Amino acid sequence: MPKSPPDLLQGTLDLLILKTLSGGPMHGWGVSQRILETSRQLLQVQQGSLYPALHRLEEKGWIAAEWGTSDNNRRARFYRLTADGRRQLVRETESWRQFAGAVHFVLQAG
Amino acid sequence: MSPFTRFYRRLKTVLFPRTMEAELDEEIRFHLDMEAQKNRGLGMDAAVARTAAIKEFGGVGRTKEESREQRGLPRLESLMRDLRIAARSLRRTPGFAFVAVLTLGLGVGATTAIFSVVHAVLLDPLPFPEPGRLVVPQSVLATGGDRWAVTYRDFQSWTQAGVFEHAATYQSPELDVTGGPEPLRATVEVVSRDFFAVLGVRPALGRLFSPDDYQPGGAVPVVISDGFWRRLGGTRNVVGREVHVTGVAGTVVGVLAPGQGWPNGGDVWVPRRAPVSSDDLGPDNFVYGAVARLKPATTLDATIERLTMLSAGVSQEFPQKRQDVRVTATPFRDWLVGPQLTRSLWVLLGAVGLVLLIACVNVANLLLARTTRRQHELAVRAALGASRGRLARQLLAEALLLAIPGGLLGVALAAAGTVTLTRMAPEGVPGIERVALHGPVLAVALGSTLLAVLLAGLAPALSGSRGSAARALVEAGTRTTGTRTTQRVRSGLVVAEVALSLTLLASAALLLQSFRNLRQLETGLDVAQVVKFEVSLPGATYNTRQRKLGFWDQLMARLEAASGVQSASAATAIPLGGGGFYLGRTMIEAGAPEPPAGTEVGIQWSAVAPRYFTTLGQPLLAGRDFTAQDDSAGPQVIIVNRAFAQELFKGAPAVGRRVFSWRDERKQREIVGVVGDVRYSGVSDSLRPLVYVPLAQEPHTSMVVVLRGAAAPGLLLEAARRELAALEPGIAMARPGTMAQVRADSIAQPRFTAFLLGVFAASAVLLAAVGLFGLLSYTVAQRERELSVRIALGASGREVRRLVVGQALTLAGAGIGLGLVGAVALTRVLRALLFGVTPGNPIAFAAVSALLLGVALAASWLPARRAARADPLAALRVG
Repeated sequence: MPKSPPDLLQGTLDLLILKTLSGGPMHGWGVSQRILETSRQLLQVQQGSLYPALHRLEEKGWIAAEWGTSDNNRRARFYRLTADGRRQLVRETESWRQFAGAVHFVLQAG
Repeated sequence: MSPFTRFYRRLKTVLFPRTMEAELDEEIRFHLDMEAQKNRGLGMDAAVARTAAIKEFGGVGRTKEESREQRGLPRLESLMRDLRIAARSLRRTPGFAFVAVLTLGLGVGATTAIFSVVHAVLLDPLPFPEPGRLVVPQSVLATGGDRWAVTYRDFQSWTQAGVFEHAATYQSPELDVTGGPEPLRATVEVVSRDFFAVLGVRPALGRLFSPDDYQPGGAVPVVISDGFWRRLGGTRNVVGREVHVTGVAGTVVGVLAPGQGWPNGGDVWVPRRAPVSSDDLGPDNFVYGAVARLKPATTLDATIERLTMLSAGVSQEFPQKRQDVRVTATPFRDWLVGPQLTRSLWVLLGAVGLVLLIACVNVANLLLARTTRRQHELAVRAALGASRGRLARQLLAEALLLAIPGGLLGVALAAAGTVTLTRMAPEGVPGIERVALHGPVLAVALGSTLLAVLLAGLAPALSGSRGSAARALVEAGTRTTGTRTTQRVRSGLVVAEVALSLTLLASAALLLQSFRNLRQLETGLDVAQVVKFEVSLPGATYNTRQRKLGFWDQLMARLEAASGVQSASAATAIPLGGGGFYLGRTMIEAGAPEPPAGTEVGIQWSAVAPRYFTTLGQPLLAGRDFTAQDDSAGPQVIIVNRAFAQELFKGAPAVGRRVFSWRDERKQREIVGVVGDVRYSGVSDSLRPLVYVPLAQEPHTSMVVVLRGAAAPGLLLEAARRELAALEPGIAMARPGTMAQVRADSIAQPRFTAFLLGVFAASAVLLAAVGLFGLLSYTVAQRERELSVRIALGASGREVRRLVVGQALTLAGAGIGLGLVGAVALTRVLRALLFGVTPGNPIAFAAVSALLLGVALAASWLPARRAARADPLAALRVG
């Protein structure tokens, strides 16, 4: 059994999805695989929360979805970043950096 | 995404849930396929790869649910889904749904129907501007008690002092009005100057009275009610029409709008033209009705205070005549409806509210039993990702789904109920014609339905969604005890039902007992085979003693000659409130000191034609009846009743003594006979001192005629109508009826209340029995294994039965105990409605307790039998 991946902080998943989609449209499974790869197998998205998160972001208008054809020629739902989503990505990235930095300082203070 | 497109999208998911569901399914399926493909790439075989993918994904159902909640209109959507699921699950148990809807419908329907009456009679504003400022000034003893009419002197004192914005007097004789094809008997309101200003009414046609109308001379202007207008033919050209009011020429000048004919039942209004006589100014001449409008800035209390002061001033001037009399004011509505009816209606509304409550408890209990039976289903749903809130909402949705048809049924029943109630209602309930299912009443129907949903749905929702899914799965799997808490809640509900029904039943028992007392009360008369009607002669024609007496003598002779008539007579007023007017007087014995030194007896006085006592069957106890010799030429004589003799002479013989009305006429009269007591204003009235004078010595123009005969009442009255028309064509035969009916009418209101309360109590007991039966059946089903073990171990059927019956009796006993406490408290409210019964009546309480215990036994009979038949083999079979 692999070591269980760290729990994603509330809101982090949104950031990861937005970041992942900034590379271009992708279907849900693709998003999860992409996060897994880029995090060097450390961040395994809880699949159960992936789709609710995708739908939530779609609802907020940060990503849009449409049906397309996948690599293996199957109908799949593709998500892409909207202009709003791009701006949100910038904002969230910034606040994440601040947050991570703050946590870093706290840990250093030990 | 703009808010609009977002809403549109959400709405689409609600409107086309299938499309959206299919898309979600497809998306997840695609994901699983990809995952499985990847797993196969890692070397798994197809089946393993798929299972691993599903495992990896986690709860598919939960994911879908959560995804759904991100889209669409989650609340509306999930409510609609809840309703769909609820509908499906209710369709599977139509019996349950039927009983629950019926129960709710009955509760809501009865509550709405009774409320519609309460609203029309007690709550709906009267059809006058600012009705809250209308009051009725009345005389009252300084020590309190009954209230009665006022004197003209008091009226003058408060008009001069400017106590009210407007105040007016009225008197309401019953007179014949001619003008149409046949004479009509009408209640004629003779009103003083400001009368219509007090009420603030406007005419629907024509005009009301001007100040000049109150000056003597010329045709009398007449205003008529909407109802009387219809009786006259209902044409618009009625204004200007000639009418004769008891022979006096008049002209119709105006018609009032419907519902504004006041006082209740007034037909015709004429201005009071007679100058104020010395008789009018008598400080104890309490013959004027009054109505007044409070000044805008004053309160009722402040006004009452001023009235009390002013009237105390008048009373001090005449200490001998009215020492303790004061004037007070009653709000118009209270005066109109009266305390007894008000109390009855509130009691009925309270009672029907209890029935609604019991219905809710019952449905709650049914739902709870279902919930427990569905523990397994609920556990599975919880395991599949339904949150606690979702499950609770789901159970509430079921309650809602029951409530909608329940509420509709309730409104339908209420519609039928209001028709029945208005038909059944006793005579003279003011405003009963306004009973209808309109806004406020329907709001109450809706409110009580929603209340029912909350009450009935909450308990199951809370208990059904409680606890961990895992535990529920385990418990539901083994099915031994069920959840103990649920069981306790259900037992509590049944106890509450029994307690509420006992309270209702006890109240109903007391009222029914009281009604029975009333019905069995001796009236002092033989009312069978007696009919009555009223005749009023025009004073203008019949203006001499000779003419009046001549008419009555001829009428009696003609009536007694008619076929089927045994005897005929007449009186200025007849007992049991059957019609006419008694004159209130006070008498002392001749030669005795006058009050305050001596004793006086307050009496009701009436003049009677020959053979009056024979005709009514009122027994002569001592002395003699009036004879033909007791006329104007003979000595002045009276007959008194036993109560009079008792009060004035304390048991000493009354016949031969002389008495007189010392306050007014001071004419000495000899008592020639003593008759039995009768109830004078109604069956429930106390026995009051009564005095009878021969009509020949005190002729009147308005009499109530009584006829005794073996023929059918209709035939007797028809014969009388013919004789009356033959004797004097222009005279109406008013208010014909039988004395038996008069008697029944005088207790119609208690009968109405007792009957309705009885119906409510019976429904309550029935509902409680259903509740108890349901609980016991359920418990027996649940304990089947335990019971079969007991039987396998040698318990006899009897012992098992005793177990079940014991449970029933324990629950019923607890309910009865609680209910008795409630009943003792509640029946105190009934005190004023009871006759000859004390509120804490132990016999009534014991009887209804026994009845409920019996019902509990009956309800436990079938479950107990089923328990005793539990199969001992079942204990062995189940591993």
